[in-house]
Amino acid sequence: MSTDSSLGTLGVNIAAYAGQFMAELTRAENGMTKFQRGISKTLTKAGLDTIGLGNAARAMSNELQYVWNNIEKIPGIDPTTIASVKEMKTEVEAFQQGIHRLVAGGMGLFAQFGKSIGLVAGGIAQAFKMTSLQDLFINPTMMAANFVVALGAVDAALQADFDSAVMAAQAQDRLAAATASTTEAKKEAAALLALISKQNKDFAQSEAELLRQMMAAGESIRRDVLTPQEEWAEQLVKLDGLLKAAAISQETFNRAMRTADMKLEIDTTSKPPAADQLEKHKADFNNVRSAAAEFESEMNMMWTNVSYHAADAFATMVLDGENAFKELPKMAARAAIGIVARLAIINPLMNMLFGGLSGFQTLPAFFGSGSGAAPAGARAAGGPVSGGSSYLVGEKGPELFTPASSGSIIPNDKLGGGRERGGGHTFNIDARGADRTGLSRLESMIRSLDGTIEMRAISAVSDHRRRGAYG
Amino acid sequence: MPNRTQRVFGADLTGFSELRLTLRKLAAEVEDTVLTQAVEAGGKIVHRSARANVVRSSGALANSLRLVVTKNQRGSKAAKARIGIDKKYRKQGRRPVRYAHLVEFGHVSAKGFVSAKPFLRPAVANHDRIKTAMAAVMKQGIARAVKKTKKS
Repeated sequence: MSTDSSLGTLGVNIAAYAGQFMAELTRAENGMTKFQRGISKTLTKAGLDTIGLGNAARAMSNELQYVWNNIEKIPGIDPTTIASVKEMKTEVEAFQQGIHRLVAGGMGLFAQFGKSIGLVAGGIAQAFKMTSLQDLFINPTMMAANFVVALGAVDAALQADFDSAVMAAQAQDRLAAATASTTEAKKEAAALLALISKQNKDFAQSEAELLRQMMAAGESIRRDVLTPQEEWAEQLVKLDGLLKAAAISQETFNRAMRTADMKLEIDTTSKPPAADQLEKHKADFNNVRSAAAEFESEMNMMWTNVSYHAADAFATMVLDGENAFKELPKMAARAAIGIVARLAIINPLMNMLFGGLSGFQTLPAFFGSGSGAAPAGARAAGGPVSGGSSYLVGEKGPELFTPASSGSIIPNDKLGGGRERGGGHTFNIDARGADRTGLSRLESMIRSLDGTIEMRAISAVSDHRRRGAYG
Repeated sequence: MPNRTQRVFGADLTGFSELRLTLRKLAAEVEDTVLTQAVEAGGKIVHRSARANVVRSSGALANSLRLVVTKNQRGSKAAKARIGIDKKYRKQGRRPVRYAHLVEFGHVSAKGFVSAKPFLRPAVANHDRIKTAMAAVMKQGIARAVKKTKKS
């Protein structure tokens, strides 16, 4: 940075000295202090010095008048400054008039004030001395105007402060409201975050549970399709890991490996491949299905017979005196007896009713006819047979057996198995000759026979039992 | 409870302490800043005017004109602006510091009298412009200083 020593002797200086300015400001300050004290002192007097006050007011007014008279001469003076000075002058004049109206003589107070004003104006005027332009700022009028400007600035600053204070208070209110709303928003946000966190946690748990189930299912499937060798290798890895982790001892490891080896050997030799096992399962299933179908057929047949012969239930009632419909299973077992009773009782009645028609077999005809030749004997209990002779046999009803050569019949009770002793006779019954109208007629006939049926049935069954028909 | 002043006048005068404090701060602020800005503003006007007033041949004299602003030198609380010739300035062998005063005031040479071609004195002759500029800066500076002191 250049200094004035770098310049030649030829030149122009423009200077403003602050020292005197500061001194005058201090004096002005002191004057104001005295002024303030003077107010107190003066006002404490019971009567104010009207004359002194008037003199002071006049002096102040004169000062202002002087300023007013010269203010127009200030070059570039701001019109607002002029207006301010004029306003001040007006106020002072009004004040001066008011002073005169004051009763007490407190004008000394304003003498102090006027003195202070004068000091300030003069001080500022002296502060701006210039070396080359001595007359530039020596004019006290301009200095007084500047002082007025300064006072105006003070007033403006005070007003700005007031406005700032109001704005600050409003801003503080807005800040408080914003803080409150922010706090509320923070609380809501925290609650929302907690809810979201909980939902995420629940979802993660359910998802983890589902994944765990899927993994377990997958693991189960994987294990099902493992070959014995793969199972053995997996077991080896597992045991090896446990051994390394010192979870099991070497002895336990060895024993487990021996068990795994044995299992591998057994599985390899006995366990069929998966495809073979599947075929075996299919075959087993087909067997079971066939057995079930056969069983179903048998059951259908049995219950068909039962239902068919339900009409002959009266025979059972005749035999044991019980209600056949309450003893349905028993009745099924005894259906053959009812059939026999029908053949022994009903069919003869039919023959009798319909004039000896051959459509209804009788029991003796059933057992005694069929092939046209009389059998040489019955071999239900087994026994020797001669070639060329007919014998009564039959695993599904009475049949004639005529062997070409001699031999023997082994009865079923000698074959072993689970059939009940003395039971299991099966009779082939053909009752297709009966019809709905015939049954109606039969019922009416039974009613006409009244109590004779019971005796007929008993005698027929007894007769056939005696003849060995029921074993 | 009203004090004696209020009882007598029906009103009280307050704010003297604040005004005193403001004036005190204002003094310091004016001393530090406002005075310097004011003299610089006046100095710029003189500087520009002086450069414009120079009758140019090589331009060395006009270009050698400098404005230097200093404050608080040699213990004095003052701001000063000086417009002068740069001692070290050279152009094509010319050193304006050696002949500037001859141009300003005129001189006698071997060929006869050389009339003056003043450039500095006319620059400061226009007091109104300088005063206006300095007053404006002072006004703004004092207002700014008052505002600043009230905030601090």
